Amino acid sequence: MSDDPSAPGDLLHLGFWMLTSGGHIGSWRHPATEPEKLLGIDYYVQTARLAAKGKFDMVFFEDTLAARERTGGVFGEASINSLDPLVQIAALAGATRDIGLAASFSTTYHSPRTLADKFAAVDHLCGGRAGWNMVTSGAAAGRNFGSGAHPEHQARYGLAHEVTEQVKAHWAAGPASPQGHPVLIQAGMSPQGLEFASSYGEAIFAGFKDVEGGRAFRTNLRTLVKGKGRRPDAVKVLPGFMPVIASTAAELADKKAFYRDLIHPALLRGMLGERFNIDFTDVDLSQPFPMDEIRDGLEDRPMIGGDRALFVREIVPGETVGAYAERMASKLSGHLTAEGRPEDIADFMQTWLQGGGCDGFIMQALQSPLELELFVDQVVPILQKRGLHRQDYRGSTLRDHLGLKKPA
Amino acid sequence: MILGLRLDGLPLAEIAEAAALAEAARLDFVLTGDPDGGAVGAVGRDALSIASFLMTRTREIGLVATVSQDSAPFNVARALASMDHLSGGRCGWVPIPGEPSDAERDAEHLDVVQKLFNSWDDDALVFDKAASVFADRSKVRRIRHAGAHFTVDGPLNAPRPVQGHPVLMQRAAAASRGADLWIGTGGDQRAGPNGAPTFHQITLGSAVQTGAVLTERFSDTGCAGFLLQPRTLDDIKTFARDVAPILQAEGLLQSAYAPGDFRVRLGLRRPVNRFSATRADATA
Repeated sequence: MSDDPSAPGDLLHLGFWMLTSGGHIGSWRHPATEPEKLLGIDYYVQTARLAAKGKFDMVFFEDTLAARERTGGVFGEASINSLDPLVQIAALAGATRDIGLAASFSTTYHSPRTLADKFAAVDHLCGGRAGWNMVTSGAAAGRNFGSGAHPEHQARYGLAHEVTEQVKAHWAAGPASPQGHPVLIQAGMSPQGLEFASSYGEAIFAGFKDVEGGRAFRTNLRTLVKGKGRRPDAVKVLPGFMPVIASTAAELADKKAFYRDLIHPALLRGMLGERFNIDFTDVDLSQPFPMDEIRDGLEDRPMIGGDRALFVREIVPGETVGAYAERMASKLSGHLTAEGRPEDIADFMQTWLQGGGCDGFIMQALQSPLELELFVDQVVPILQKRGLHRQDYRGSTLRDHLGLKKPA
Repeated sequence: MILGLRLDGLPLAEIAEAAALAEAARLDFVLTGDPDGGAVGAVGRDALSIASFLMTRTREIGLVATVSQDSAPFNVARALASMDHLSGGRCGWVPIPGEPSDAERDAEHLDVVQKLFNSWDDDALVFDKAASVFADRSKVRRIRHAGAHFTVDGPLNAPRPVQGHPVLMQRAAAASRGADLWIGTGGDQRAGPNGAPTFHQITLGSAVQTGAVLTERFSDTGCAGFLLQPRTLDDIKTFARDVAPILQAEGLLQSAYAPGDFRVRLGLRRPVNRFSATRADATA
């Protein structure tokens, strides 16, 4: 393995991001989705086994510590997606054999002892397949954890360093799992996040506009990692990714239109309400954005998993509410998207890997299991044929899958 | 008689087999973690993760875990609600007092957890695809708890548990009074402080001895049943093979699981949602 921080990897590392009915916000309304089953473990077992059939490195669950809301109530138009991820991966430990099991868990509102105990338990129960995405919680969660002021970004990362050191100390004091201890995953691209990632991160979830952006980030990160006395390949960069697979141009257009139509007007207005913290239920879509009202309400209600200031910046000056909403609805996700035939999807992934833009992807499916199944059946064999993806698991731990060394 | 099996003394590698044996013998539940709050090995420290793991290794049996009240009430409520949904209503818990021990704080902790369970009405999930209503937002509310020890707005980010509240078991010595079932320390208590049924703890020994103790103590004391403590996996095998069939023949142990969630099977009433009740009163 090359010591050059800009050297591309030779094999893709794939994570599957478990998001109840899928990564598309309207996926719960898809005719194939059975919403009443999204709360039961069987659905997640089936999805994880499907990802394992595609020889994914891991499945991944995100975490939130507050209900999704819009204007003083829950965002009831969207599906809930917030069951405890540790309960989910512990349950999957009993029902899967090879695939890695990763989850976000907050360093802000769980004690180091609890974090260490929970991930150690899962890592032992699954034979060394656990991964922990170390996240800090936003201000929305603060309302559910006492009355103190929420720590600022800098302070939260400072706290995260301390917590991570303590968690690692707890692990070191207990028995080692087959992979030593859980893989440390990190998301975030701020300078503080990068410093944290280069010190502790083994897999990094990130977002880029293009391969060049990915390459710049990855090279920089790997240089920092090397500067800390670690090997550049001790960290894998995995941008978020959502494929749209169709065998013809006509089929692709149909599929995109179909998913766009799943965003019911009430769901669309709910998304606007969640983003801007004002009630869009009766807003006239032909009117320009109520910018003053939006700016006034921005700081009142911190939102879950989004950057409200960024959403405001995305508004084109003078544009109507309806025009913005249309643009938002046609965007399938906030991540990289590849569209086309299975070969086109494979080409896209290959270009990113060999261009040094990433080491793989953390992938969402428009709808689960349908679109994951399509990827596993039609794209994975192409990647395997090109020698870019494993034919079968070679090791038994998540660290094995990701090509990471066991910690000393 | 209600029968539960403690798993906290076994190595982690034997937990799944022990739970499968307990289910095959039609025991009511298995318990992960030490209900007396004693020290446990480093790997087995998170009892709820172990109980969650058993969710996919069993189909019917109740899964009860100790949960430390040192964790924030929001985290505890969410983990338990998640466990109850994912397992189809098989979750139970034993709160373990926080450190340093503070009875008032622990009582408030339990109160907040239960308020969070009730922050969603039972019928809040609508799943109306045509109108794009996954949940009816008028049936989910803040709890706005501001107490001496905790300030929690809510709502919980998980719907009300399948069982309303997961089954709550407490040691008879615990200060709070909301338990569905009490875990006795021996003696001959029939009922706990709130009149709820009590278990006795029994260490499994030879089959003959164990069978006799269970039937005699059950008829003598009128206790609700027993929390069995195995010394080894073999104790469980012996119990399943030699004792359970006798108890079943005597009609003291179920020979098949009845339909319904864990709470229903134990014959416990479903907790009323105080928030929903208030709403119903207001609109009546």
